[in-house]
Amino acid sequence: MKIERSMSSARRTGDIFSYIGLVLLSIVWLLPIVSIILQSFKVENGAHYKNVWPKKWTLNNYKELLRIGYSKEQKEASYAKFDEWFLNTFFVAVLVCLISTFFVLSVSYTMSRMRFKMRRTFMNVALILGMFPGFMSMIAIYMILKSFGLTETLTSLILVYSGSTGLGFYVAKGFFDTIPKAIDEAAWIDGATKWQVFTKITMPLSKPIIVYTVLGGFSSAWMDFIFVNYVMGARTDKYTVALGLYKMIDSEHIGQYYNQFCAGAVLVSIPLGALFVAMQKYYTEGLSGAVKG
Amino acid sequence: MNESTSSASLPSKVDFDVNVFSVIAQIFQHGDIFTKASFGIMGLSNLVRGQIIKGLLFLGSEIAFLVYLFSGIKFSSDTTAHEYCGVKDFKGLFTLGTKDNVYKEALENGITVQQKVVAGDDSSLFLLFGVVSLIIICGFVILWKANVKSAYLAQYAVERGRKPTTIFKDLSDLFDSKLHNTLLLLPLVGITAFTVTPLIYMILAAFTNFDKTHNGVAARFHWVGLKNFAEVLGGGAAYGNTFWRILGWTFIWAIFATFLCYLGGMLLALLINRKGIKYKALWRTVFVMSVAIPQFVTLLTMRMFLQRNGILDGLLGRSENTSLDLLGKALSARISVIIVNCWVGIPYTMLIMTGILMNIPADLYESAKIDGATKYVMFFKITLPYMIFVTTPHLIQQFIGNINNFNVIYLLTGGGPSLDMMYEAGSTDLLVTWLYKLTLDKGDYCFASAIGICIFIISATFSLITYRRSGSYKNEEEFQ
Amino acid sequence: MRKSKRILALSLAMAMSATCFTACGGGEEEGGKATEVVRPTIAADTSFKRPEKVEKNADAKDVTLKVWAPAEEQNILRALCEAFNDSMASYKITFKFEEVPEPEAYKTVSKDPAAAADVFYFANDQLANLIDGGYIAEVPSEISDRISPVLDDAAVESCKSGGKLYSFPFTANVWYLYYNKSLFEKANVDTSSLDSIMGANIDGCDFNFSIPLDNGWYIGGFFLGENGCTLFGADGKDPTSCDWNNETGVAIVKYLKGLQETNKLYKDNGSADTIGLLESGKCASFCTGSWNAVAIRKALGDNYAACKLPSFTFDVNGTKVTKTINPFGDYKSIGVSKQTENPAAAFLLAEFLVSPWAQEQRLAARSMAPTHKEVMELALQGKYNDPGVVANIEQTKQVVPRPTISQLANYWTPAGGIGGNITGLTAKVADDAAIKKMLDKAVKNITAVK
Repeated sequence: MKIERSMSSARRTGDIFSYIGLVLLSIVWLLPIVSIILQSFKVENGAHYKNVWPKKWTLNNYKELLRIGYSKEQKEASYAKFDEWFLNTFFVAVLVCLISTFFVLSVSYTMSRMRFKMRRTFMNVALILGMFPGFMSMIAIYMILKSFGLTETLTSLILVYSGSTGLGFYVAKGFFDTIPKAIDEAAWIDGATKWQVFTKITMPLSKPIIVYTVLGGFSSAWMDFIFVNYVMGARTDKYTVALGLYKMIDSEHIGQYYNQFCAGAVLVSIPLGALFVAMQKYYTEGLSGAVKG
Repeated sequence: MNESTSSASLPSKVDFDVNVFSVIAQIFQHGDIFTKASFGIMGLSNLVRGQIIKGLLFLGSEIAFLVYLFSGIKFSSDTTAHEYCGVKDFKGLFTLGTKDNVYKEALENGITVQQKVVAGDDSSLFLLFGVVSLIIICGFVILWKANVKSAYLAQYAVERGRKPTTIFKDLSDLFDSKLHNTLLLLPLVGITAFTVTPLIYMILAAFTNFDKTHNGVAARFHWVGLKNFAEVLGGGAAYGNTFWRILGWTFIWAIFATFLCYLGGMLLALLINRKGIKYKALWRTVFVMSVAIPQFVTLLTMRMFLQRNGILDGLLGRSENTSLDLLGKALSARISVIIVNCWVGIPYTMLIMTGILMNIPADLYESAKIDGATKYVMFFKITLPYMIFVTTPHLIQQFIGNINNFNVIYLLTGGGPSLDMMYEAGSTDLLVTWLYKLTLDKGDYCFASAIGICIFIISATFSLITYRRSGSYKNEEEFQ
Repeated sequence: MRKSKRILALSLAMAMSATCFTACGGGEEEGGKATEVVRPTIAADTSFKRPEKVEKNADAKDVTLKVWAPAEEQNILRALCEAFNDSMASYKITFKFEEVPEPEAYKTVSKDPAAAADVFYFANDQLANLIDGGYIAEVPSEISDRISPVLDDAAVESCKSGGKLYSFPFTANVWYLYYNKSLFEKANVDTSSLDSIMGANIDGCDFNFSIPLDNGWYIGGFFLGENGCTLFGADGKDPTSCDWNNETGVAIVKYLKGLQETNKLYKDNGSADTIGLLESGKCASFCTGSWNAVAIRKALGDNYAACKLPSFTFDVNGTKVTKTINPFGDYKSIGVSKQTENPAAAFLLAEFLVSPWAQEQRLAARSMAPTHKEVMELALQGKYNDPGVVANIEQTKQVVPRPTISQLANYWTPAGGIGGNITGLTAKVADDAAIKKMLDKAVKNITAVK
């Protein structure tokens, strides 16, 4: 798209004001994030001193957070087990992402492309189920997990995060709706089965929505702290990053762990933020394509 | 592609396009002796007509179900052991347990201790296994219906002088005409296990007195009917008054949060999309930061930013006793949560709007220019209406989502300053966060469920009214 | 455009990390978790020795015990449990330790009683709920007979319900006053009078007094005891009775509002900020308990001092009344789960954790005041070099018993709300009528029976 550079002064002033506005907004947007990054390098205890710019700089908070150079007893007795949390969360996130992507894409493709008797019913029921507050059934899920002996394990997290993702088909379905049916029909005439159409034709065309679903599934494991708190109880070595960091700034721990919380926040944000930004293009396409539907 | 169509020389006497009950009635009416027998002995018709594997599968599942129903299947893990018996579990749903814990006195190491020998009935488990039995019975009924239909189809095929479908054709159909069954199976299992079962459990719990003193361990709980709802909604009791106040704030919050984010996102998207702005992608990335970083990080960061003697006070150079204390006063806390929600929500809307803006068909603008429209007219008459129309369902979804927006409130204020003397609630508590506090801090699960059901009824009513009216829902089929 | 953006981002990241490395070169490193703290010392002439290590019997029972304790207790707990295991001939114990803060013990136990710890630490305000829910086991008569005489009477009383003992108290959970010795001396402050503390002019100090007033646990100290208001009746057992909205109540709220208006009262917000102010000398005193002792000791250094709470003088209907601040006489104790598989071993462990040697070790490690009569005596004689412990023990003589009924759960939020309105100087405390209205509402919520 060629950018037409208009010479009219009205246009120019408008542009200048727009730039100023954008710069101001950007500062507002980034200020809290930058302040946390700065706080993670503080020597003095951030809970006691709330200055933004560190008086003294150190990498120690990161070192303590990752428990580099700790003996085995120290490791066991310290609360911040960030390296374990990170691996736990990563492990859970990858599996959840795989399972939930499969579930979501299956259901949304089915709803979009196929016609069968229970279709409308399923869509309405899914809508209704989504209106109950999510954690209302936490104790029931906990008891179900208990009867399988799965409490306080990472498997329970994987199952619960991915189990019901089939209900969240709306966005992906919207995207599939925008793919013209003519493509499918042409393939059927050539003798392809529906499964072949699904895997060999529709999927390659759906990169944006696949990325969107994968990102969604991956990030769900990093975000939840309610359910994992309920299930894991006191097993701090099985916490996920979200829960561990959340508990670091409660009244019990904040005196000792404030700076480490900031360090942990930075460490978590970097990979996830980078991933999101890199996939931003696909994410936008998938989202707006779906919203249109 | 309708299942029963293959090139038929003889039309089926059973019309499959009507509701389920009349289909079954018709099958019974037109079925021959083997089909009729299949109503009782599953798989018989299939076996007789040569569909061995299918018949055995149906028969086997019937046997398994009968075993479950009357004799019981034992299943144990390291934490629970239970004999799942359909009839007993279903009955247990009504009694919710009758036996107490049994302790035996023992003398060990010079002290007399009470050793538990027999665990009593745990009401919460009785409720759970009762619900499980309901689900299994429902599942079996579905299987039974499939059996009946398949029995008739086998008979029908033979009547027309053809072989009934082989197992290979059935399997390949699963990947073609019946692909929906294959694709939906596992997700449905997941949904049943982790959403439907727990939900039925909690809905039933709303009609019991499952609270911290009747938790099924020390004291069993029992059915109390609508008593909990009366207390929650009644204005006088401890819960009632608080319920309505929190409901009011929940609505105000949802309206402000949704519309501010929507408008803000739209304005921001338009701003960046201006022709004169360079490095559009860079600007978008800057704003997207607050969405890309996990929400608990951004929200906890904002909490430490805004709290009493937080970072904001440090930046503004305020000393301890002149702290802004934004989160400590009711009104400023409420405004703060709305603004912070905008901070994390506007970029999300902006992304959507940007995508849509880029996809507005150019010929709309072309034809308008030919007709002599100015920039402003084009904006107000083309861009704006298009964007609003396309994003209306999204807007409604966001509104309903904000009614249940747990994270922002809980992480930012934990429910807010509790200066207003409400029952276990603060000034920024939504129904969901109040619900959470009641469940986890107090263990009053029956009340939590009752409130949860009220939340559901509110959300559902709202959605049904607005969603059905919106054009997008009506036009869904046409769009395809 | 994408490639250049990536390069830009990468170079920014590298630049930032480079800055960090160079900047931190000159920084001071704070090593590990074991920072040097001035600690209380164990008197050389105590008679408490670590129990002897004994040989295990041939038929020693293999036992696994799960123990829940807060974070700060974990280190000393492992040492104590090891000593217990060594001293037991009839058990071979494997321990599983998990971190559960004392206030959350009830929540965690009630969520899944079958998976609860065998031995857990909790604060006694949860005792009523634990008993009602059937989660805690009654102490066997043999143990309660031998432990009741040697532990402090008030401590034992607070662990009893219906005349039976349910847990082992290990420290008094009271709050008292920590203060900066040199600042108070310089300003000639009389630590037995709150008005003297608040009236003093202390150099470089913004706040003379800090207290988390928006917490029901603290504000109760001003109303209860012999001060003129009661909670749940005179014996603390009547859930429908609360008279904080009487004349005295209004007068007390007015008095506290006056204190807040001097701008020298700091409302603490989770301890960490006040400790920072103590460190920088901007605050001179802090109302808190022994859980903050280690941090405060580090912050004040040589100026570390503590005493029992001062008295305050306020105006009721024209007459001046002087009353003491009376915190809840609460205790933290160790309980045994009713669902445990090894009740005998669990009870013996719990008993051991409050033995004199164990209490002494805990005092040395965490400045936790003891409940064993002999250890308390030694502490009062100054043998442990810990003014905080002394203040704690003295404060236990000036307390008000905490109500034991489960209605207490409804007390905290409204009471905290009163304090929050006072420190925020909101419209609810603008004048007598508004104060009365606020107190009326608070009382209604406190006595609201579900």
